[in-house]
Amino acid sequence: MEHIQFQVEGMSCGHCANAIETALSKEVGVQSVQVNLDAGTVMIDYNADQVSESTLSLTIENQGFDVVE
Amino acid sequence: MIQQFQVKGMTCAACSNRVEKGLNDLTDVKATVNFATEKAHVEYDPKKISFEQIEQKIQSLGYDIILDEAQLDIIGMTCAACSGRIERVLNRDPRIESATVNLALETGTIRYNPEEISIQDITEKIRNIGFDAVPKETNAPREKDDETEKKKRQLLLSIILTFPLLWTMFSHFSFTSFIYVPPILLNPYVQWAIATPVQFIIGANFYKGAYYSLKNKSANMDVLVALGTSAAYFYSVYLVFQDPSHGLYFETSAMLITLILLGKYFEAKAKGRSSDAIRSLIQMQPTTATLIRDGEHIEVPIQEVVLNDILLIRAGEAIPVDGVIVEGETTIDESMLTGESMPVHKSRGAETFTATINTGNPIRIRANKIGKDTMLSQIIKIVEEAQGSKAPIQRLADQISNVFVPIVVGIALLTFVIWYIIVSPGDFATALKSTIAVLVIACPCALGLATPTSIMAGSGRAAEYGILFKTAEAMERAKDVDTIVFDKTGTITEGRPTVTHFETTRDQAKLLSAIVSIERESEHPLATAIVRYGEEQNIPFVPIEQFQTIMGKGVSATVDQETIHIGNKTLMDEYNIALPNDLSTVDKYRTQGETVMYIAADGKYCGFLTVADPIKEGAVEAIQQLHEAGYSTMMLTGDNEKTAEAIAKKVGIKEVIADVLPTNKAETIDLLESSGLRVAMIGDGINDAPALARASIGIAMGTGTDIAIEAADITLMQGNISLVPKTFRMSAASVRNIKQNLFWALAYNSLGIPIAAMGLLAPWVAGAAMAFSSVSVVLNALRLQKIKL
Repeated sequence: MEHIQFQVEGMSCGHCANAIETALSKEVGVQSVQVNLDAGTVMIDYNADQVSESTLSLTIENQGFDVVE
Repeated sequence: MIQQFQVKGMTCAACSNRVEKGLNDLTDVKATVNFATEKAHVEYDPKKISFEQIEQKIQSLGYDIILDEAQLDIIGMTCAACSGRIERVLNRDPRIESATVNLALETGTIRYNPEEISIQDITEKIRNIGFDAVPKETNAPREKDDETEKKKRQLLLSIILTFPLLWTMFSHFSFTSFIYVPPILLNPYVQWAIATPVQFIIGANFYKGAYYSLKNKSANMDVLVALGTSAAYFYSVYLVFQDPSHGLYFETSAMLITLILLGKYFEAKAKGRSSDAIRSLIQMQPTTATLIRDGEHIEVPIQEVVLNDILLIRAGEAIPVDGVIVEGETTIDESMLTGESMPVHKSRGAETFTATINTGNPIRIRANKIGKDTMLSQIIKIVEEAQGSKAPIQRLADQISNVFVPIVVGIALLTFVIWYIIVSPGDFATALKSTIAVLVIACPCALGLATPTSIMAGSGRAAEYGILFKTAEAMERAKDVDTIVFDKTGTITEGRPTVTHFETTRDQAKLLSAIVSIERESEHPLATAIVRYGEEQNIPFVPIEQFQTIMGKGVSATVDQETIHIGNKTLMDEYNIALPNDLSTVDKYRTQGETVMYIAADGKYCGFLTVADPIKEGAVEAIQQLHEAGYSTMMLTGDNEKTAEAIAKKVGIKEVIADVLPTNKAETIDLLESSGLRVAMIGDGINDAPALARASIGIAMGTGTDIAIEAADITLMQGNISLVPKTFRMSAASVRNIKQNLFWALAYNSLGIPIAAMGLLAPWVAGAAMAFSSVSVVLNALRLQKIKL
């Protein structure tokens, strides 16, 4: 089980957080998702054999947010 | 990535060439622009060039991209970040030009390329990121009809303003000066006031067109018009202050603009609808399919079918995807592929295609090609590509202008030099006057009428014969054809099987009576042919019992206590019916491509019928006429080689390509066109549509499918093949007439050039030239209406 934290820009309300959580949870291999609006972070526990870091990052970006490197 | 979009404002092939060149000048862009369909096909790297840059390039050339604008209600946004997100996701898509989302009003305004993305795609995108979107209920007017309406309004305004100026023309000629002209109209300032909006508001398009044409180093009709009208207008302004007593030329410029607009309006009205063939083809795709999963029949939308799914095709249903039969035996109507309406017998392992119809028993197939890979999608793709690759021709009027403008300017300059240096040295004013006068008289009013009047007269006359030209371009282009390719079924032949021979040792009438009564129960095209044969001979029907269809082989029933079998050799073998040893007549017919059906009564052979698709009346003469006129001919058919060769021989065509799939028909045309030939394709079926779209000229039989008619440039009513040679003669006659008109348009005005050069130009000269040339053009065009083809 891998753990990663993304710095995400553009999240401002619970709705946004919800969108990210739903989209990431749909990915096979994602165990849990935690969004911290104040800190602007998204923490994901995932199985590296089933999903890659870049796919997770892309999923967040496809929802219209910016992942800060 | 590749994007296709519609370009607005191109009026001729030179325009589309410029757009194409301009786009190709952008970094790493490969573009083709088709004038006929008004579409640009652009391949580019979005990392290097943005859609906005492409749009800007097109705008800088003087045109615009047709984008649709959609208003959507967007539900679920709670904060600015939400609306920002939606905007960001939408704007990232290169097919969307701009997206603006209003959080407070809960709306979104999206400008997008309707060729590549639909409102449904956009609302789906929005839904994918967690909101809901619904298009607002508005009726967006179609841009194309707007163009025609706009032209009509411009024309009416121009006529209204020009009329008072024209009225003053009567005062120029001594023989009409008795006609009352309101004095106010003779006031030079009034004339100036009326002419100004015509020149600069209505005539603005000519200045724009001229600017872009000159920018690209060519002179088209716009340049000629702008030159002539500006010369007339500004010269008249000069005269208002210098010496209005001799008369002004405001009506010359106004009349010129009005006449050109009249011509453009005629052409806009007559421009054929861009082909709906694609839409009709897409509608042939079944929208649902019956999946067999875990023994259950589930009806699903077509998008949910994946490769290797097993599907059930009931009797009479259209096949939803390309597949291989895994269970069952049936006959399938593949006329959309081969043009043959005779159902094809298929069993396990055989391939079946989308949109063909299962006319026999239910079968199960395994999907092996879905979505964009099916035969139907391939046909649609080829028709689309073919429509985009037809080389547009430069209109004759523009070609003439390109030559005429430099000549006129040359003469004007020469006039100036001769006056200023030789005749009246140092007299700038007189020299200038004569120079401008040359420019005024040189521009032919009737130029804008020359082509449209011929086209209207020509297409009207052609229609009387039954030849329907879809566009003016088709009329100008058809005469360049040198090779004619014919489809077989439905084009050269009637497309309907007919009984050709009937031989029996028994009482003909009585046996025929039994046969037609049996065949009446079957829907097979062979049966229909037999029944028709009986009806033509007034054969009465009799009651039958125990009718049976033996698929792929024949039929049987009991009539008058006798068991009658009608079918092919396989049927006879199966029922152990012995055929006579000497079947030489039968073999003779079979080698001619006819279908033979044997007849047996109570197990004993008693005769046969042959059925063939007869050649159309007039086909042989038509082909002969074409050969005499120097055309080469070819047959291109989806039917088998034997039948094709037989028909070709009877009709006089030497080259035959048979067993051709619809996609390959277009390829064949492509090969011919690439080798420098100009090809006319004549066909009637769905399988001809790609070829009809690809050929320089596509001619459809009016009796054929709608798709063929929509894909073609010309339609022959009633499928009358003897109209083919007439069609080419009409095109040649029309082009001749256009050239004559262009001559008349230029002739009178050119006669006036020496008069102008000598400084003797008076408004009556300009008016006379205008009147004579316009009348000549119209009368000459009317001659085309009397032509005998």
